Amino acid sequence: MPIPYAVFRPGKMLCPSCGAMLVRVADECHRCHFTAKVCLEKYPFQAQDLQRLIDPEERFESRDRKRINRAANQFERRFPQTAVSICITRLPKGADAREFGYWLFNVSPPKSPEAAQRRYFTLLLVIDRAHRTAAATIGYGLDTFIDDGALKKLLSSSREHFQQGHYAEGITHFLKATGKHLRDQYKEISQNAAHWQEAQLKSQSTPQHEQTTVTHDPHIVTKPA
Amino acid sequence: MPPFFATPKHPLLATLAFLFPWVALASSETAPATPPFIAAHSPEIATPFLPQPSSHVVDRRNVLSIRQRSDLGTLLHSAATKDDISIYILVLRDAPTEGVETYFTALAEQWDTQRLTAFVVCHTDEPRELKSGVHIIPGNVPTEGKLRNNLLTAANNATLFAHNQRNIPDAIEAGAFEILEQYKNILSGKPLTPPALTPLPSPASHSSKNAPTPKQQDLLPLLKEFAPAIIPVLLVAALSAAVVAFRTHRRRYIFPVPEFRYRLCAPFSGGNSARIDYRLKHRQPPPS
Repeated sequence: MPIPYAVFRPGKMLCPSCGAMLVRVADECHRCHFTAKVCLEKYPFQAQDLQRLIDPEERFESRDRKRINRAANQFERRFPQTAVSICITRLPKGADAREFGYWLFNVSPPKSPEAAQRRYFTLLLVIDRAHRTAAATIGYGLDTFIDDGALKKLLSSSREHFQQGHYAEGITHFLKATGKHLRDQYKEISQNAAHWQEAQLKSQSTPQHEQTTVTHDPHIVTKPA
Repeated sequence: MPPFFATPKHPLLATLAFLFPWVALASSETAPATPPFIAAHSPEIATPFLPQPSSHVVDRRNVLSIRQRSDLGTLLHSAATKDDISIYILVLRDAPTEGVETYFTALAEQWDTQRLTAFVVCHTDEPRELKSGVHIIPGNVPTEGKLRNNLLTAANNATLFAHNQRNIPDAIEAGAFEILEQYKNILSGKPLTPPALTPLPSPASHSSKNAPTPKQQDLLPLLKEFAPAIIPVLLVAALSAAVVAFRTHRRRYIFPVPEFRYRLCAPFSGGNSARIDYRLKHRQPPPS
């Protein structure tokens, strides 16, 4: 049974296009009206599979690939629900790494139902060498554990490596920092979840007339078709 | 002629000694002459003439610590020069069990004809009976008379005293002190004291470093007693620490699955993302 969103006290989130603060369940950005559909129109391409490492220019040498793979494997072993994907490319002029990440994350078709389930807990890192920007995007499953502010901090910790062109080092450092952040969050998150489950069990065991009415968040919407 | 040549045991060794004389010289310097026990096994064979050992302490088995050796050597040397009492400590690998007294009496006759002589002999071929391997044997014992009785009693007393010690180095040290005290009593005409009443040598004369402190004396037997139990306990503790460290290192974090709140009509990610700019900031030119 999924645990309600509010149990985890998530942080604020911003629009991937304009950076305006998003209401949790907004169908579109209230400022720029950005939606997945708008994004699709902006990038009318066939999206690539969301692999571990997307490097069309073959920027990485085999040694760097091994290093990144090792770090990603370690991350996925530590957090078995998650998947790591890294894309290093040169985006066309006017493209934004954050928007591109959002597009790639949502448009790239998962190969199997398991892959689709795993996509919710995927961490995608996009490095745009043309504009010298790096962006990280996470799925709905990790929403409650890493907010935009934390992601930005984690990315900033690798800024120096990226500036020097040491992308492999930057990526491994980012993964390590993210792993540490998740480990730090884990205790509180699991405690909150346990408390909520305990409360649920208690409420189920109490008679019907004594039960307190569980107020559902009216903003929860169903998955779009 | 180096002593190696004096007793050639094998022609090859003799040849080697001839070819490499410095080896033989070195061995003669480091290891003082020790009476061989070959003759002791057959007492009817005449004891060969042997030079007197250069030191009062001959520890071939390294049972005594360097400090103990040095302290005892100094003490026995001063006893030999001042009090005219010659006491030799001989720690040997295998001492004869029969005919020891005859042998050492003969040796004492050869070495010190006029002195009161005693040998603190320790043989270490039987590790379980280390303390019982310490014997104090008087030398120059007359065939009859009061002095003979005194010497034999003193040696017995000292041997008993040595056997009451905790370990072999203590036994050797205590035996040497005891026989020295007893001989001094004999020389000064005092009555011999039984071993139980003999005062222990002063702590200053003992090697302070190697002598166990009272706390150590309490701990050592405890440690020896519990060593078989302590080692497995330590092993188990180390193993559990390693397992804990390994499990912590390999720990997996499985997060509770939250309720997904779909945003921006997107199926997998609702735009939870961040971007940084890692462009190097160019320095602005200085104002003209």
